[in-house]
Amino acid sequence: MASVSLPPHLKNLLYAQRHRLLEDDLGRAIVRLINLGIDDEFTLQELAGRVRHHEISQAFAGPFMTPGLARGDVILGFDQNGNFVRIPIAYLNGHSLTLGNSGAAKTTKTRFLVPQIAPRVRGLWLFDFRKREFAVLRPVLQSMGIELLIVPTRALRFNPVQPPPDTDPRRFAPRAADILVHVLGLPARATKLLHATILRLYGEMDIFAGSQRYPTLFHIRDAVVADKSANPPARQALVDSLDPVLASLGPEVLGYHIGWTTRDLAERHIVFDLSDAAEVEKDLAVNCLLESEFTYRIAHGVSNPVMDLYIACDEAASLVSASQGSSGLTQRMGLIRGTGIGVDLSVQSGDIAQTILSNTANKFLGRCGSARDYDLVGGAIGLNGEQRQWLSTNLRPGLFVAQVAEGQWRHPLVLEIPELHFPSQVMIPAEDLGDLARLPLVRADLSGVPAPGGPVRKMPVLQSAPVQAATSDAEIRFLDAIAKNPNIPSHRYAKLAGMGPRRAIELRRNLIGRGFLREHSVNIAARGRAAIVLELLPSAVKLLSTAGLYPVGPTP
Amino acid sequence: VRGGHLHNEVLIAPLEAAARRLGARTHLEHPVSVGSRTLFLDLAIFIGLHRIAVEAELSPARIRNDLRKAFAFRAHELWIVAPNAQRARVFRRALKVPAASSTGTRVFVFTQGQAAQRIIDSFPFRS
Repeated sequence: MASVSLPPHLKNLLYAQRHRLLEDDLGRAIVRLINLGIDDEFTLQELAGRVRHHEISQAFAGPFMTPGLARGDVILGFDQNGNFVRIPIAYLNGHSLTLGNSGAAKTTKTRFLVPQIAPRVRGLWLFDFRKREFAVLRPVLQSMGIELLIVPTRALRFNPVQPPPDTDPRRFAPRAADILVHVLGLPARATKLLHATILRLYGEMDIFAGSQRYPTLFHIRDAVVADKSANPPARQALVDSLDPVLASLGPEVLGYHIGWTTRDLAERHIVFDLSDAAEVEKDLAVNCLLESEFTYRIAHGVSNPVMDLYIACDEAASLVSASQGSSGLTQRMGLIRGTGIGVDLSVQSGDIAQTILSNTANKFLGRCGSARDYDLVGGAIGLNGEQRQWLSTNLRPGLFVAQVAEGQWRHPLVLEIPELHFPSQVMIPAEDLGDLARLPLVRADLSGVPAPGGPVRKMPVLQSAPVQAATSDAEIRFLDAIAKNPNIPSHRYAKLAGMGPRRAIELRRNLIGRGFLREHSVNIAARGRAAIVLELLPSAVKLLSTAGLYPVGPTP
Repeated sequence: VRGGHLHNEVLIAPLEAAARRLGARTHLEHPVSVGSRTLFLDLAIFIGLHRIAVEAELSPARIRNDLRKAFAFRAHELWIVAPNAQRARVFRRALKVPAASSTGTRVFVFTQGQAAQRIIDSFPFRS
């Protein structure tokens, strides 16, 4: 196509429109005047002035355009010139993904956004997976009149197979089975076994007839163990994987017919402190909470409402990983778009499922250690070669390249997050359930359900060394010396028992091996090496009492 | 005191006996209100108006809990007593305390012997 030589004022007009320089009242008047052919000197000078000013600022801004995002209720950060970058909160409904290595200020970015978002949403869920990062926001939100509850793993009260309110249990059962299979890392065959077991228990417990005595994971384990016709490897895998979770979280967390519903939680501002939980426990808690809320909203046909629940997951690698198989989140990410939930995920590496990349419209790329990570997100937000080159040499902690979800400005932009300082002297409680502690729960009666860990097949059981009767006088004397002089360094017992040190060491090792004694390494003195302190075990006490040397029972 | 022989008899009991012998008021399993819950310090030592919280630990898992209890107790000092120097080093690494708490509690990790020595040092004219 032959190039068209445009008059300078039209070139200026096109430049100004491309960079959104004419969106104020005067700018709109300029566009209208030029469209009407009224190109008087004032109009053209005003237009040329705006273009020149922008070109100069752009010359100092590197390869990224100065963003045209100056309106909205949420400040994302600052652009290259130190001006606010603002977006309407509705943009966050499109979900956000932040990629940056450790120290890139991913958490700081979320901490900066949360106080702005919290007053504008009904529910706020902040998930701490690795460290207690979000609890420090509690005093900040408190000063705004918002109560931020802190819920550690052991304070959760939930039932993974409890369908969300007004949801058909038949439709929820396969979802619950899928989650458990994913979380517990079970073979595909176990999905069918779990699905069938959940449906069977729903039937037996009259769930289809309207009862709300939902089975718990303890009931599921019990039913699977009792089902001799089930595929043995699937059954064994299920029990093996479920037992540690049940033993760790216990009935206090999982033993409820009706636990907390996400309907209750979605109306509160909560930090879920999962930093001390095992990976499988974190996955179980997060997937169950998210799945339940997603299922509820999708089942109720919620479509494009105002965002009323904001979920931020710090270090969400296990939720979005492409290599660890699909999680509930990766499967549902496309569906939850437009259900009033804004999800903000932050990860350290580019191991990200395609559905997550496709369905997170806001992207933030921080400092990374790998060119592959830059390429992955850089490609997704449309960086050109020069911009990609700029990333690897210019990104530093607190500096991101971003793309926002909606609006007319979807060019990549440079974004600086301010450094935040939180008072170090304020003690944050490890747990504050607030009114969650008063929510109605229906605790399951698990008295008839065997405790987790019961064998399905004969398993070798590790036992302590068999106790043999100590018959020699020397052994009795040695034990007696320990009983009469407890908690002194072990080398002193040789003299007290009337024997040589080498014989005492030999006896000590022998008695420890036979289950009469236990040794501890303790620094009894302020300096020097740790001493060995010997503890009499019950078998030794019994032996001494039989010999009339030791009173059995509490010492007077 | 909840805990095994090492915790109760080797770590806590001698400290309690030493403090009491030197004239301090001591209280085993001292209750402390933390939020809506009541937790218990292994040993509380009162030397005049000076309050010392003593917690014996065998692993670093509950150190954060110890801090909460000591701050709630408004202790002047928290002594985390480790069985040996190796564990004490582990605890020190695990200990992430704010530079100064709002209650002004000073936190120390001692071996049992060092804790006993500090009790003696607290009463220079009596020991």
